[in-house]
Amino acid sequence: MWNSGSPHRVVPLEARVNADERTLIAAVLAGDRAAFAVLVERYQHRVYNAVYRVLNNAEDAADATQEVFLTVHQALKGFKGESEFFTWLYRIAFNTAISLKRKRKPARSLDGDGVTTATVEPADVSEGIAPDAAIERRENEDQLTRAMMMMSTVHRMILILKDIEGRKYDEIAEIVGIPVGTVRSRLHRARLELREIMNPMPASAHGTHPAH
Amino acid sequence: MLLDTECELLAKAVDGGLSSDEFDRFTVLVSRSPEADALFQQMLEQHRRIQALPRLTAPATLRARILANLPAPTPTPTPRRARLSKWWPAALAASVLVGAGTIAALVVTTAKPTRSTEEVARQPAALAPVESFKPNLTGPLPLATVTVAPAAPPFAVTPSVVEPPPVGVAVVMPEAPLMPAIAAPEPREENIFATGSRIELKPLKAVQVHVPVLLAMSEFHTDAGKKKLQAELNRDSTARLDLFSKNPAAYIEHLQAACRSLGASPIVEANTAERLNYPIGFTFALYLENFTAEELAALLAEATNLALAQPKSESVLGLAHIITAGVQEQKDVKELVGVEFATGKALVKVAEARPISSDTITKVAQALKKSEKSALLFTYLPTHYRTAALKSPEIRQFHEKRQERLPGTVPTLLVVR
Repeated sequence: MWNSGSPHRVVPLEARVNADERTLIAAVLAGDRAAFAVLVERYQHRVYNAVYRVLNNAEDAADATQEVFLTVHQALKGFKGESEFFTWLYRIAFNTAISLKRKRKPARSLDGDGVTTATVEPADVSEGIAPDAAIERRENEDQLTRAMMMMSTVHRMILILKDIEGRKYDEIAEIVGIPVGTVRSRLHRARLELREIMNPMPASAHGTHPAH
Repeated sequence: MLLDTECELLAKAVDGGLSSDEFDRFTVLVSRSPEADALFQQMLEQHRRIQALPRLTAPATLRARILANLPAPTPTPTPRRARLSKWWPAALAASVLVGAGTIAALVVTTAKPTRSTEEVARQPAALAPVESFKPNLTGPLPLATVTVAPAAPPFAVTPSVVEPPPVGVAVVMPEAPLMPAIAAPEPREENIFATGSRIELKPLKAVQVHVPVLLAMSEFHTDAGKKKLQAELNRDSTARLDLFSKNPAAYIEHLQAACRSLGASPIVEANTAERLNYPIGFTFALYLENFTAEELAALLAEATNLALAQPKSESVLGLAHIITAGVQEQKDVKELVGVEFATGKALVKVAEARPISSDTITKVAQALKKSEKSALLFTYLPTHYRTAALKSPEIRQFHEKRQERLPGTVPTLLVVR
């Protein structure tokens, strides 16, 4: 879907990929399954988190994550090190998530019927919060998630990459395959779109349908 | 109605990627346009909420599922080219042997009896028998190669042993060159790093390792938290604390209030004061002097109490990381505060006081009592937003009010991230 050609000049693998990853990649290419298991262990949660935010369904996110790593296993010999390994992995992850989203039945209800929820990381050490605050926080998160699912997929992806994954503009440009300037303008449009969706959106709203 | 370029500027401010010119335009925009200010605040709030969304973890069984679905490794087929090349070097060597034998036979039969012994000695030596080629079939087959052993370079030591060629390589020996043997170079001075240490190490019985401490800021007000803080702050002569907060501006307000409650009014560098209104993308630091470890612990406890008294304190109180101030901190405090962190020596010249009457001196001294404790708030990151100590009127004011460093106190750098 995305333009896979990178606008960057070819940079040696050693320049963009750290030594540890280089070793792992070489071992995987030599047929070492244990090395691939290390890669999976290292990145599965981040990939899962990213695709879940696109799909908003735990089962689909697990399927997508599996497909991502199988694709990585097959395509690894074609990884030339023009980008960081995780940037390349992200690109595959988002493409896979979007393809899966299109294949699945549209507009699953977000009321909770048949929607499996993902496991959340353990609570922050600093938490000394009252139960009411936890409920309120969860409601806010649900409201925000529903609003994000109403955004266009492109805008949602860019927002996920920037705000959740903390990627820089040039990394987002590499992942999505668009120029850096386009990333900036799409990001600001994504923020405006989210603002329009959330204002005025009461916290009790549900039954939303994703844009696409 | 805001222009597209203005909306982009606001969005960029949310991301924290403004240049200094853009920051100036941004501050002008939000100060003149309530609409722009409201839009910025909304986008900032959404940005924080998205950042605060929980990180999801993959199901525990997913890894096993992925590995179970990996395709089985297929055996690598023998490349056609390698099969052909299996016999090629042997065939080449055999033909060379036959040719060499024929030449040798011709030379012997046609040689004139007047040839000197030296000339006979210079005849090429018989070719070494070719090692039998044993291809390696256990892995991917490399292409077999035929190499000609290079002539020995003039600086090489004459070898006493000729190493056998590697398996799979047929070697054709050239005519031995007539080169004088050159003595090996003198051995280099022994290097203890390369040749093994001569230092005899006694066996270690115990190793004490001090790792940087992580504490929850919400525990600063507890007895255990204060005790831990004091212990860490008393460990060395200077300290640095990194305080991670999702709302640094709010936490800095609490820190400032806590300072005032302990008798130290923090001086705020002018640019920093402005940036505290729109703090995204900035890291601020508070330099504290003439506080004992106990007083610092009390200050941080007070800041925590103030934060806990407000709603949504969990977004203000994160984790604290305590380390001994090192070389980088020395440089930063020198550049940004104008003080030698370790010694307390001032590096900023303060204007000498003009002579005044003794009565006035008493009144002024009473009114403007030099505070024992000093606190200075400034911008720490990004580095291109820093204000050098020498260029800031507020930092000069800090130095005017600053007292000599008291013994038993711990100068500390609090970095609020």
